[in-house]
Amino acid sequence: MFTEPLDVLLIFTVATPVVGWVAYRKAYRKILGIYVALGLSVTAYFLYELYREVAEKGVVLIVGQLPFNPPLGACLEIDMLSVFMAFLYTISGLFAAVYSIKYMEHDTGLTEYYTLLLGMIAGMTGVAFAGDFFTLFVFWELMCLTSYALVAFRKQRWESIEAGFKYLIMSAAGSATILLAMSFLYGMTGTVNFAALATSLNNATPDGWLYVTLTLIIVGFGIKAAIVPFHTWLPDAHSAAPSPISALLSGVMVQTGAYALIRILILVFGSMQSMWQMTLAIFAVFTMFGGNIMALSQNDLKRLLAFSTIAQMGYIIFGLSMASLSGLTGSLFHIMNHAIMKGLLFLCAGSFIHQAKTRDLRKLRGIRKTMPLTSAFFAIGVIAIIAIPPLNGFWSELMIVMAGIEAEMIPFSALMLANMIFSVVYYIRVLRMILLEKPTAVSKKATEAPAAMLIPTLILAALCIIIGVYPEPFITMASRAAEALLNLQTYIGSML
Amino acid sequence: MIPHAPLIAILLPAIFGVALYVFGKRVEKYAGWLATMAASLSVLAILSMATDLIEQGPIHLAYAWIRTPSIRLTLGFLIDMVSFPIALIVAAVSALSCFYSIEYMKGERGQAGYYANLLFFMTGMIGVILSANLLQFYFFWELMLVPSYFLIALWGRSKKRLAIGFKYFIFTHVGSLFMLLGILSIYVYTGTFDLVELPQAMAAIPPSSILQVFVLLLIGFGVKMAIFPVHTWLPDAHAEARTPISAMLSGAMIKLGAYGVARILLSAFGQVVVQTSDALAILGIITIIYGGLMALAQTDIKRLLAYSSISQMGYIFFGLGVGSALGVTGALFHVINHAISKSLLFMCAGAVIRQTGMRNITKMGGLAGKMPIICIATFIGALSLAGTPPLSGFWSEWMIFSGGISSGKFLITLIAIISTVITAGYYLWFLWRVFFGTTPKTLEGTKEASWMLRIPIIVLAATAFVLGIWPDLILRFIA
Repeated sequence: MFTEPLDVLLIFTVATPVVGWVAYRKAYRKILGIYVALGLSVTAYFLYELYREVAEKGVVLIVGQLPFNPPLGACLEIDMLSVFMAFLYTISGLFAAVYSIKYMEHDTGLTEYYTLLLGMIAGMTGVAFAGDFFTLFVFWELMCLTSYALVAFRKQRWESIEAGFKYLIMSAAGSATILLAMSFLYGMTGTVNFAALATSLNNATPDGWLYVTLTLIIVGFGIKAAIVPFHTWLPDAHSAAPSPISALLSGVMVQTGAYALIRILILVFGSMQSMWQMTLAIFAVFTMFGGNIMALSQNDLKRLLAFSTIAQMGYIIFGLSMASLSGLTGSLFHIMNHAIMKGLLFLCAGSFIHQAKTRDLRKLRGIRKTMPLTSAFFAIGVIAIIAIPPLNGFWSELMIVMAGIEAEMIPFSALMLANMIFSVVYYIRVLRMILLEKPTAVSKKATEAPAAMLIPTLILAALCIIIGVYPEPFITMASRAAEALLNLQTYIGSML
Repeated sequence: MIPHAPLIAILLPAIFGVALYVFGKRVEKYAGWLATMAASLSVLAILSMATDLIEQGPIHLAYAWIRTPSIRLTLGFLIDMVSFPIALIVAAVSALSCFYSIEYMKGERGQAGYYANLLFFMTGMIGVILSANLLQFYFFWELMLVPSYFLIALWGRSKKRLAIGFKYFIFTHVGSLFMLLGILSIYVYTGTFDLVELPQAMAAIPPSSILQVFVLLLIGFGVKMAIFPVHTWLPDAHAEARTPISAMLSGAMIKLGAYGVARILLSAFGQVVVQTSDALAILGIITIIYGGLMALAQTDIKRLLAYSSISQMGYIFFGLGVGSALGVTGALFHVINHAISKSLLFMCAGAVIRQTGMRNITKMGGLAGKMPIICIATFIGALSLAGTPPLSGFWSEWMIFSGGISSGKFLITLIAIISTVITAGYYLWFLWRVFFGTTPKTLEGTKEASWMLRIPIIVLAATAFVLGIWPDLILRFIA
C-alpha cells in the first residue's frame, strides 16, 4: 500500500500490543524489544530493495486509483533523498530499540513504549516518502504525537511531564503554522501535490501572499528543526526523554524538520531562492551561536548534548541554505554523521545515567575508572563531533565550510569555524570531566554498562572511525541524495 | 625502498597503537618494547627511501582515497629534500623517546594507553611531513592534537595538568582553524590542494587577497612554532608533560610549524615572503630575545629548556623569513640540529630530575662528578644550540646569519647575532649551576642514571657531535 518498508513499519506498529499481551510476564519482556528490532531489520531489508528500485528508475511513485490519483489524491514520491533519510531513521531506530531492551527493563508500560517508538519511525519515514502536503502532514502528525508521548513517557516525574507539555504546545503551534501555509498554497494553486505546486509556482512572481506562506513554512518546520529562536522546546524535551529516545529525537527527528524545509523550499519556492537562502543562512548563524553559547554553561550532561544538537542544526541549515550540490552533500553527510555521533553520545550518556543514576556532570567526574569502555566510546563521539580527524564529523563539517566558501559566503563560513571553537571548549570540558578528573563518590560506585547496552555504542563508535578513515562511499550516498534533491525535472516529470 | 614505505611509516605506529589499546592490560608489561619496535620499524621504513631519493630525485606516491563530486582527495606522499630529513629526525626522536619511556615511565599507571597515544602522536607528525596535499596535511596536523592532549593532561606531572592541557588544546586548535580557513581559501581560488601543483596555480589568487591567505596560514604555523605573540601555550605544556613527551613536543612537534612555513609558504607564497621578510625577520628576533630573556629568569630546569625552545624557534623563523636560499637551508638544518639537541637536553634533564628528585636549578650543583655521561651529553646539546664550533648548531646558525646578510639585511642580522649572546649566557649559566660549583648535602648520594636512560642520550649526543664534524652528512639532503 505505502511501499513495503512503510507497510512493514505500520503493521509492526499496530501489532506491537498483541506481542505485548503475549509477553505480559516480566521474564518475557525482552521479547518486545527483540520483536521491534526484528521489525526494523525487516524494514531495513525492504528499504534496501526499494533503494535498488529507486537507483534504477530515479523516482518511485505510489499513487491511488481514480478519483484519488494526483494531483488531487494523496501520493508517495520516493527519490534517493527519501531513501537516504529513511535509512537513517530505520537504522537509528534499530540502535535505539536494541539499546532499550536493557535500558528500559525496569520500566512499566513497555508495550506502549515500543508501539510509540515504531510509530514515530513510521511517521518519520512517511514524511520522507510523502509526495504531497496532505500525506506529509498526516505522517508528520503521527511522528509528533508519538514523540510527545515518548518525551513524557516517565510520567511519574515532573520534569518529563513539563517538558512533554512544553514540547506539545510548541510543536502543535508549528503544525498549525504548517497547516495554514498548506491552506494558502492550496488557495493559490488548487493543489497540495509537490510536483504540481512546483510547476505552478516556480515561475510565479513573488507577491505578498507567497512571502507570508514562505515565512509560515520556515517557522513551522523551523520549530521542529530547532532553529533559534524556535528552539526552546528542544533542550527540555531531549533531556527529559529516556536516553534511547533522546538519541532518536536529537539524532534524526530534528532532521525531519530540516528535510521538509529544504525539500519544500527547493521544489516550491524556487522563484524566491535568493531570499530564503539568505534568511536560512542568517537563521543558521543564530542557531549555531545560540546552541553553542548555551551549551557552554551546562552541567547536565543531556542538556549539554541537547544544546549541542541545536548548534549542529545550525551547521546543517547553513549547508542547506546554499542549495548547491556541495553544500547539500555536506549537509546531508553531516545529517548522517550527526545521527551516528549524537546517537552514540546520547546512548553513552544513557549508560552513565543507568549505571550512576545521575545526569550531573560534576558527579560523573572520573567515571572512566569504573566504566572504561563506555567512556572510551563517549570520547570517540566527542572527538568526532568537534571535527577532529580521523573521525567522521571532520569531513562533513569541513565540506560545509568549504561549500560556504565556494558559494561566496565566506563570512558565514568563518562564523561556523568560530563556532567550532565554542564546541571544542565545552566538549573538551566534558571529556576532561569524564576521562581525566578524580572520581567522585557517585562515579566510584558505578559499574560498567551491561553488554546489551555496550554493543550498540560499540558499533556506533566503530562507524565514527570507519566513516572517518574511509568516507568515500558515505559521501557518495549523500551526494546522490543531494543530486536527487536538485533534480527537479525528474521529480516533477515522473509525477505529471 | 621498501614498497609503500611512506604508508608503512605512517600506518605502522597507528596499528600498533590501536592494538595496544585493544589488548590493554594483557600487553601492559611489554607495551614499551612493542611501541619502541613499531617506532623503530617506522624509522627504518623512512630510512629505506634514502637511496631512491638520492638516485631518482623526489618520490611522489598517491593512493585513491576520496573520489566524490564535491570533494576529491588522494592519499599522497611527497618525499623530497625538505620532507625526508625532517621526517627521519622526527621519527627517530619519537623512537628514542619511546625507548627512553620504558625506564622513565616504569611503574606509571596506564602504560598501554600511554604508548598508544605516543604512537598516534608519531603517526600524526610523520603524516604531516610526508603529505602531498594541503587537506591531508591538515588531517594529520589535527590528528596529533588529541593524543598529545591526552599525553599532557593524563600523564602530566602536577595538579595543574588538566588546566594546562586545556590551554594547549584550545590554543593550538584555534591556530589550526585559522590554517584551515587559509587552506580552504587557497582551494577555492586555485581549485587544488596538491602541493606540487600549488606554486603554478597560485597565480589564480587575486593579489588583493593573497596577503590575507598568507597571514591565515602563518598564524596556524606560528602557533605551533610558538612565535612571539602566540607562544604562551608552550612553556606550560612542555614543562608539564613528562620528559619523553617534552622531548617529542620540543624536539619534534614544534618543528612541524617550521616545516609548514618552508613547505607551503616559501614554495607557494615566495613573493609575499620576500615582501614581508623584514617583518618576519623582526618577529624572529623578538622571539629569540624574548625566549632567551625568559630562559635566563627560570629556575625550573624544564621551563628553562621550554623557553629556550621558543628562542631557538626564533632563529629558525628568522632564517626562513629573511628570504634567501642560504637562510632557508640554514633554518632547515637548524630544525634538525634543534630536534637532536633539544630532545637530548630534555632527556638529560629528565635523568637529572629522576636521579636528584628535584627540578629547581638553584638547589643543584656539582653534578658533573656524579653523573659524568649526562654531564658531557648536556654540554654537547647546550653548546651546540649556543652555536659553539665545531658542534652542529654552529653551522646552522652561521648559515642562517649568512643568509640574513646575503639578502642585504645587515642591521637586522647584526641584532640577531648580538642576541645569540643571550643564548650562550643562559646555557652556560645553566650548565654552571647544575654541574659545577659546590654539591649541596642533599645531593651527595646522587648516582649516574641507568643505562636504559643513558642509551638514547648517548645516541643523540653522538649524532649531534658527528653532525658537527661532518655536517655534509645531512646537508646533502637539504636542498
